Amino acid sequence: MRITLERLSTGAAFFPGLAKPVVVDSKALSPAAAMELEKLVEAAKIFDGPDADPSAAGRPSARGAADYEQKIVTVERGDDVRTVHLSDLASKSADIQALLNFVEKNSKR
Amino acid sequence: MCTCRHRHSIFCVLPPYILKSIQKNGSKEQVEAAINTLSVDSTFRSVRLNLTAAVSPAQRERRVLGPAQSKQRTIYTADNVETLPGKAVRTEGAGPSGDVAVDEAYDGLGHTFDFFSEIFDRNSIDDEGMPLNATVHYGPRYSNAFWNGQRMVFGDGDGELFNRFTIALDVIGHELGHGVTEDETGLVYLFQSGALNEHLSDVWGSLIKQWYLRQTSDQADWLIGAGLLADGVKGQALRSMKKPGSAFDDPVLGRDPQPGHMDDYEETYADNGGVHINSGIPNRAFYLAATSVGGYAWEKIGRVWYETIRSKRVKQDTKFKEFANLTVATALRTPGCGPIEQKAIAEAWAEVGVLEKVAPKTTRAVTTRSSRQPARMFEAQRGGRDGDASSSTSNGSGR
Ligand SMILES: [Zn+2]
Ligand SMILES: [Zn+2]
Repeated sequence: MRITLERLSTGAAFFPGLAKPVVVDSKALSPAAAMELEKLVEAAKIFDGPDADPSAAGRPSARGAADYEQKIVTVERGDDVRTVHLSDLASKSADIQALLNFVEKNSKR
Repeated sequence: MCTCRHRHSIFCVLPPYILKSIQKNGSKEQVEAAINTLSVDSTFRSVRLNLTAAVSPAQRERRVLGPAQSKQRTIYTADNVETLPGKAVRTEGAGPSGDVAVDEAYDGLGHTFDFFSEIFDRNSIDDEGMPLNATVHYGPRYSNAFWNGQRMVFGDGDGELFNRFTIALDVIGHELGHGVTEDETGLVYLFQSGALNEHLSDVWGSLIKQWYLRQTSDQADWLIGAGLLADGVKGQALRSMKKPGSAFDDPVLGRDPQPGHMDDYEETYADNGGVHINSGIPNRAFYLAATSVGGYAWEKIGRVWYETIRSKRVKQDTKFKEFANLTVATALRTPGCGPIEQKAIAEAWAEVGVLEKVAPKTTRAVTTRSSRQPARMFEAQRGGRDGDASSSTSNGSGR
């Protein structure tokens, strides 16, 4: 399993260093950490359900909004690849947040 | 949140309200046209413009001169989770809360309101007394501030790279300024129109700080967000209007990507099409004009910029050149300004490569058709790393 976190927008300023994609590969993790990642992806229901319309990734109230962060998380499991769009303008589930925290903690810039 | 299986394309960065209005299964040409004109979903704005037009000049006058402008602030705390609006902790007229972020937001919004009221006779964000709402302590270690279309949101920073985002008055002014810019122009937050939107927020933010500190244009630091970067970070601020590209150069944050001239304009999909990158170009033009004229920047050049957005001639898809020409034209109609300010403005835009160098004695602005930036971006990107001919269907947006 391979997870890529990319910041499309870094908020109120653009920081090229923070926008660089970071990757977590379960092959490079300890068996325990790889297991934890597996569980986090499962809990976040990344591979459940049909493909969604990316336009659902925000809300109409986003009109006029500015300086929000936008992230893309790509999860590769074998040939199966899913992408999650995240923005400050749409709330994220606690499970997605937990997965994000894991990726940030276990990836090097 | 959404999960989907696709190659990233422009659809990943377009705001939902634009995406939704792009016809389902729209042809490549239709989609391009929608992105290019950004004329979609303008219903709300035209309704509002019509309402404004329906009010007679005398009524409008009264509305401005009318009841005393009074601020109505409410500061909320998100208690370090990502939730909005959070819990109200300080309302208008209440004394200090003892929570530094709450009190900085309260005071900063107060200075921002007072600046717009005293200098531009503007009654809050919408010029109709809109209440000012802000949420602080957003998220755990959240290192950002944003405007969600209705309220300002501030994080505490992670303490390693960033301090709390309420620390900088110009950043508070910048966020509230997004509300003002949206109200007057609706400038779409993408590519050049988005960079102009960013530029305007930096102008309001910087002017508010200069006004608060009573600094003339040569005394001001022209930095945006000084004090925001934590100790140890190699940098002094988020941006520099005086010297774009010089605000930070840090192993983790990277190097300030802002250009100060059209020759270095960056075409990118990141950052909503480079809105915080290319804003360096108009930012530097503003700085050059303001320092050329001298004195307090809010009195002359700042006033011209404000009159420009008030003119209703800045549209949601206005680009640099068009905006530059509008400021040149507006200079002569701005109280306290004349040919001297107009010349300084025209020369500043020429210095950054947005307008042609003006021949001596030429004071009339030439309006040219603006370039069709988004269409070119779209083409370039389709041929690039994300692009393939089927991307408009494979990304799921067509369903
Ligand atoms: Zn902004
Ligand atoms: Zn995408």
